Amino acid sequence: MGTLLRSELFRIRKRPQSWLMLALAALFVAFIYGGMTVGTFFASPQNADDLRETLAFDHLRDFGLSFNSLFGGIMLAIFASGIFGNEYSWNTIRPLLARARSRFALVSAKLATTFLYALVFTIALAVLTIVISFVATLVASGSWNFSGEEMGKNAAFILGLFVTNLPYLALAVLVAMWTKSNAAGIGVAIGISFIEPAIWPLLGMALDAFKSIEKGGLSWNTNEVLFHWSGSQQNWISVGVLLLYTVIFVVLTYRIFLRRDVTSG
Amino acid sequence: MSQVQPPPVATSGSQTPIASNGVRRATVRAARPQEPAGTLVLEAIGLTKRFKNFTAVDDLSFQVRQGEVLGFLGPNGAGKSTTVGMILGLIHPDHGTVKIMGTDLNADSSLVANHVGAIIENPAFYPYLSGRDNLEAHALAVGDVPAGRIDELLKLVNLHERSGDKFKNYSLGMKQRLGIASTLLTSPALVILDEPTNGLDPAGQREIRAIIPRLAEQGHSVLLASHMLHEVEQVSDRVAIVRRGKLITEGSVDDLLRRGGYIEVVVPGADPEAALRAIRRVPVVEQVTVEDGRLIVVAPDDAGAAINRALFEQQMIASTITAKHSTLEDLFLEMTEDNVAADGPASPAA
Repeated sequence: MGTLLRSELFRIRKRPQSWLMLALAALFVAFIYGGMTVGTFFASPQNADDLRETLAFDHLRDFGLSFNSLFGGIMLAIFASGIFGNEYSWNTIRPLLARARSRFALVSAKLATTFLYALVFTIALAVLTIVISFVATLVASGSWNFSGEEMGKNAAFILGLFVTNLPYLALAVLVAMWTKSNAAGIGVAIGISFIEPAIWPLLGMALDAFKSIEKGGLSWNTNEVLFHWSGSQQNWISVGVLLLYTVIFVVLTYRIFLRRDVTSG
Repeated sequence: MSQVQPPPVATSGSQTPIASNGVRRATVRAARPQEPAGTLVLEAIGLTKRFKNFTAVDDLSFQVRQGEVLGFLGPNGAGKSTTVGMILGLIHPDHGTVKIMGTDLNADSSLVANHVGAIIENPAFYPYLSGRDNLEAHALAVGDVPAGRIDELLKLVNLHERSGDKFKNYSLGMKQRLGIASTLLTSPALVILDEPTNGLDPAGQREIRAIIPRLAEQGHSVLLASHMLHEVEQVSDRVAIVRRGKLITEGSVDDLLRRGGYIEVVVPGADPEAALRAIRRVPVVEQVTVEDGRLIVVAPDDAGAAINRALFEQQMIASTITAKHSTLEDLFLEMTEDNVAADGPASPAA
């Protein structure tokens, strides 16, 4: 697997899209912070104070890093889907498989690349967001109230961002590999991340039992880890549920690809 | 009394196809160093593959030895690509075994990566990478590629000056050449080329054809799957012809071409029936027919002198005695079209 992983990472480094996605996500965050900063100069004093408070370091998790969850999640789903989907669209899956030591090694390298990229992307985007927040706060209020305790909480949040993205990434890889389609992988992963949180409350209004079933879904547990973290037993159960989904999707990916006849792509 | 010798007649030698660079195929093959016979690089044993209710490959067996070029021929849907897929581990056979360098592929899945280089249909690379970076990515994937190997191969295929350009900007010929370079990265024992001249102009086709015998000279074995019969005929040592997943014939190109050969005899001014009777008396002659005033004789190539003597003894003089061979195309069409007519329309390609 080592040789295949080196080859994957070499290609990821060389591909402009890998860096462009990070830049685009940072640009979205900068656009929002920029707009808010400009707003502090034109809003009423009360609103300006509210805006400055939102831009402040101790609101990073509620504001800037939460956008990371949105923009970053979309970008990572695109990346994860492409890890197999692009190979089929470029017709490179057969030559790649022919030079792999084993199918297991190839799938392992692909998954490892996906998760490694997600980790680096998440940390890099978070660092960029912190820098953007620092600049915006300085411009808006002339000072920046850094706190070590808040930084610790932010670090935990960033780790939570990575963990909560894992099942969506694994799902994108699975669907793209299974359907041989980049678009399908992106669509399913992003679709579920947006639609699931909307469906459960509706179903819950129809039948109370759905409120319990919701706690087994991805969105409820993602929220629990990201926005209600206190180290409680429920928090850790939520981490377990998310990792279980990840493992299920990963196992299915191995199972399907190891048995598949690769006749095209 | 001294025996009167028959006058010499103009005879044409066998019309051996000319290799792409003007050198006869026999000379091209004779230039290669003699490799030990019997060293098997590839064995396909009883390969069978069914897709739903269609049998793409049916109990197919063949071998490729070290340093030889095996032409793998068949009409569309014959099972060539499926067979190549099973050899490369892309497709799981329902029955049968593939052995590479004597080891079962099921026992060691790294055999293909270590010993085989392949171009499957059109060469596919990453469009955003340069030619050099594509080879670098390939080399990293397989490991153990010596330093300098990439530069060496880029020079071999005349891509060194364009190696920094993105693959998406390459012409089709350049893509094919990069594909050839990638197959040779690990100096594999077996090179598999599936339709390597597909879409190339004549100059490009000639370039690729020139590379194939050089690969064999360097000790690589080549499995060449192609529809271009004249090119297979020019560069292959042996040919295996498949139809509907079954091997219908296999043998050296020369032997196969001789099967459809005959000797054409022209005896001006003579009674064709008398000439026919005279020739029939030659022991090695299998069959004689008259066609448009010419005598068509099925006999070994070297029967010309005996035929000439038999005619002379009956006071007939041949003006020309010419040995003619079939082309591979004639043989291929005879073996595949006749069977199609008998069995009905072909099944969809796998």
